[in-house]
Amino acid sequence: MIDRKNLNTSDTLFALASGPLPSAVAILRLSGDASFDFMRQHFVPQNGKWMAARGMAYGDICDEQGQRIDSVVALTFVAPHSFTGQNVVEIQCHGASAIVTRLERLFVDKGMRPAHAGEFSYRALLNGRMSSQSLEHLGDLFHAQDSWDLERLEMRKETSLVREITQIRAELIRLQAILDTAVDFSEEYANVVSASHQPLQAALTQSRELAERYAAFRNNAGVPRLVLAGSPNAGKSSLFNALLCRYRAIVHEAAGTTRDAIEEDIELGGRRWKLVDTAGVRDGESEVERTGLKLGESFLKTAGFWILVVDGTKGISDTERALLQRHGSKPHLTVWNKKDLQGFQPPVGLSGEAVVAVSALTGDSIREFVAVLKEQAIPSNQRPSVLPTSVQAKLLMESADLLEAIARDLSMGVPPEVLGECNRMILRKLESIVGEVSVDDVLDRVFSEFCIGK
Amino acid sequence: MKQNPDVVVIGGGHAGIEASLASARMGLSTTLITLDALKIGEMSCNPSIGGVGKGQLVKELDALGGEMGRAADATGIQFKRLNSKKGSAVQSSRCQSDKKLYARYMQSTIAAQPHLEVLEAEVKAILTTSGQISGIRVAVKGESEWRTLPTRAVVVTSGTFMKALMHCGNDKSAGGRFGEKASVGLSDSLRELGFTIQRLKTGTPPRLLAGSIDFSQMTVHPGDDPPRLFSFWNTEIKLPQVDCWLTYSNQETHDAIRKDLHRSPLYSGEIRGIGPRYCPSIEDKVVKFPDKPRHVLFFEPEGLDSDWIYPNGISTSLPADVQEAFVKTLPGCQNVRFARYGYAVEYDCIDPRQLSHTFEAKHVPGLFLAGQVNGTSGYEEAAIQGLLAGINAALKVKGEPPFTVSRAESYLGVLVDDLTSMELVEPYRMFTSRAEFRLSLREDNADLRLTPYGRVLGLIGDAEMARFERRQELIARGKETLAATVCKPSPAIDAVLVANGALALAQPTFYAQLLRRPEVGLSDLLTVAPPGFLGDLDPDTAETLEIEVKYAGYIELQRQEIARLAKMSRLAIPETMDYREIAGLSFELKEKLIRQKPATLADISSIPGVTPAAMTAVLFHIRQRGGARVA
Repeated sequence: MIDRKNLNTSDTLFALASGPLPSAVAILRLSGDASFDFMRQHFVPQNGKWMAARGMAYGDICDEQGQRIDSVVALTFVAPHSFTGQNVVEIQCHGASAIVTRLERLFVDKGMRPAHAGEFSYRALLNGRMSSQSLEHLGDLFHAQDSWDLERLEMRKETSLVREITQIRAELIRLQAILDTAVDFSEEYANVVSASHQPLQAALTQSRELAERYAAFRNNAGVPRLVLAGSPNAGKSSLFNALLCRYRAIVHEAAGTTRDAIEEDIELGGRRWKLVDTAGVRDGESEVERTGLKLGESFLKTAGFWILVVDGTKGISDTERALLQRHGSKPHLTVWNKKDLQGFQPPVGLSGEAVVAVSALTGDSIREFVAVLKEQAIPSNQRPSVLPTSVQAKLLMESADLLEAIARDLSMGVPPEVLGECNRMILRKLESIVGEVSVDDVLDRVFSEFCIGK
Repeated sequence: MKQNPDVVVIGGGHAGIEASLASARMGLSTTLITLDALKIGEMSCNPSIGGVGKGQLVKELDALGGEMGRAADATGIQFKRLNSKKGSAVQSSRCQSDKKLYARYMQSTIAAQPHLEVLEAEVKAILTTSGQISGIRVAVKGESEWRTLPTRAVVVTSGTFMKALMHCGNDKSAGGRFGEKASVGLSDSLRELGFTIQRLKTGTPPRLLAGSIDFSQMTVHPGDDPPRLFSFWNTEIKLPQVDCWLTYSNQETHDAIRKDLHRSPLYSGEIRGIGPRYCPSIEDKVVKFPDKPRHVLFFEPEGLDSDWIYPNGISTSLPADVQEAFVKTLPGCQNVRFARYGYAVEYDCIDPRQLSHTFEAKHVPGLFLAGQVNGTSGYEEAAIQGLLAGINAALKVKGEPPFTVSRAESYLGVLVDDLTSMELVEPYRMFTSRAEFRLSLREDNADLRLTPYGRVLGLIGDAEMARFERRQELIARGKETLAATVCKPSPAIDAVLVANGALALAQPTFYAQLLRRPEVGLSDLLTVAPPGFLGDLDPDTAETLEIEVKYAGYIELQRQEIARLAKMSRLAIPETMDYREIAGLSFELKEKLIRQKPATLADISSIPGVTPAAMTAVLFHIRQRGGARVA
């Protein structure tokens, strides 16, 4: 978090813009007036002279003694036509720690300082190159898990969020109309508690849901588990590997994390899943197996979707029946493995779920299996839901808290004029997202729903 | 006849009365011009003062030194507090007035007022010299030659009389009120002065003869006992108190109306003026709410020695025979006789956005307008506008700075702000929901909010001021006492709490804390508190104290919000501001802001159509850009 109050916004910043070192190429980004001074003094282009003009140049960066540090490609952006709105230089050097360190030391010697996290974007904001909305959007982009999330972020540009909040607002205006009617037309005073209930609860549920949708996105709580379960030797691990082979998600690990050997990321139909290979389900004999068994059970409990892997040469046994009994209510499908072997029996479903025959070992029918899996796990009517921004989510959460307070106070007999003031505070919060609520919006409701006037 | 009055007020309705009294009381020679001096203070429609939102206006007017509250107390024949259920923070006063006595009270108050003269005359033209008011041309009653009265300030309060047209079925007649003529020249004169004129509509129910109604078939609707007064200033109820009656329309009534709906000028297209949604005619109610089996009606006496009944709820412009037919279907009205038929009135009003916050025309210095001519409805809305216009006309002549109030401190401020900034879509009536800070703008604290202004203006006398200061003191001390004194558990307090459905007291608790429980009232606590606990509390002061302590949390929240808005208004707008990026603003408003390039948020707030919410959105945006800086 940037401490904006104590931030010098006139000095020149630098930062490593590319990933961990060593790497093939490292990108160092400079923003501020000193960046051009630096280039004039320390950059020796291969041909000609470095110009403070938009463009790309190849050459050497040399130290104070004129000794070459590295050969680099330098991109120049002249204010205000740059990301930050300041003079910007991007230096692409060899991604060796020693080189980068030497360059950074040189930057400091020339009066530049390392940027705080987010400081380039902050300058862009200050210089009007980015709006607060696009800044928020950028922040969220880094949290997107899959194409599905990207689509949800892209939906912000459409009107779907406004539509959802407009619905909430409509409920709140209805509530305000009920409360105001009770005050302005005293003969309606008595009905206020019963009349308020429906719009109050609707607004509360909707604003909570929207706010929590964002929280789940930021907590990466949205990646569902796809769990393989079945008897030992049914071929779960083979299927696990067969799926990974084709659909493994390219995961960029943060340094220092370890991965669970039986859990891998795959991407199916634009959505990321954690594919889980459980230990074989049977009465465990050894300590290891018992732990594994427990693990399997716990994975199944948290699964978004699961696949019952049946040994097609053996068919359904009590183990499969038990599994289906315990978890059959959760979305799942059955796959009959070992299609390539002698003695493979025609597949049968137990409870009307989809059944597919494959050979995990030879890869036979895996593609067909995945097609069915996509269809089953991602119902076609399920569409990505739009994400509010963090500011919007915060306002929505505050609104939901206030609505809960209103519901409580209402049941305790706090008069409608007092609750009306609370509700107006909520409306004011939402106004900053979807525009103004005028008194006329409320009065329009009053006059359309109530027969008023003496 | 005064040859060159300081201030001329045109019209003797509720606005004209307050305007002329205020101006005269501020020491300026004032002439009130009316067509008929005996019609001064006439209640053209319902015989009542106050109601929700309106009661607040009367109290504010009274706190500033106006007359309507005193007149209501002196001539009221039934008083009722609305929303007076225990714990209500927004209560409103309403009374039935004796119509004749009310007008007589106002006429004698005006007659007794020094510096104030009444002139029976018709205004022919408003005169200006180099754009400023310089006088008026009048045809004085009984004189054949027109006269010119030079003056520096004119307050126009012509009500519904400009080009007024009354409708009763297909019958049309020119006139602003039954039996009175319309004012034709004034509207044209205002149009020539550059005003935009629009057309509004209002209506009134028939009047019925009490002797022909069987009230035993209705429900008695008595007033409060004891009645609570309007005025803060030592008034008393002088007249005997009477009952009203409550009844309902029925299916037969609605059928009778529906059958002849095509004969209503409202539905035949005869009336094009816009009527108020909050005061629909009975034909409107029947059409718009076809599922509602009945509508509530109140039968209100027009006075102690009057046989006229005002049937509140059946305002109509249907032809006379249809009125007779449907009224006869009401309980107790089988043999009803009519004193007068209901009618609708169409009239001209100006666009109040052409006025400043003092009700002075922006383009004609010295010309003020107040009351229904500004597109409002209701006696109370008219009266308080008259007061403000009268005060400012007087200040203008005196060469003193104008007097304005904000919407954060009064309903008057809300009214002025709304009228001068919003497009008029119907006659403007006050609702509590129009005020952003409803919990702070209450009837009971109107004096605390406004009387100091009235004092400075010279409208509050020494005796009133002493009374005000005593009350202020009692409230401040009472708050301290309640906050600092502990109520110990006792059988007595538990009995009171349990009787109110509250939990018994578990441990010693401050009185203020106890009072915040929704079930507990101040009067409950006083039954167990030591004698003389809060001093000599009158009911009004007790009410203020109770509400201020009970809702202290909410009131404090509003106070902070008001302070935040005030601070916000001093904030400078960065030059790089791009209003198009702000999600919370309407397209029109964005356009306006881009065009006008305001320097501070205060400048933004003075742009018509800007609400506190819009200001919040702009502020929010500036903050996010990190450019917040106080000018």
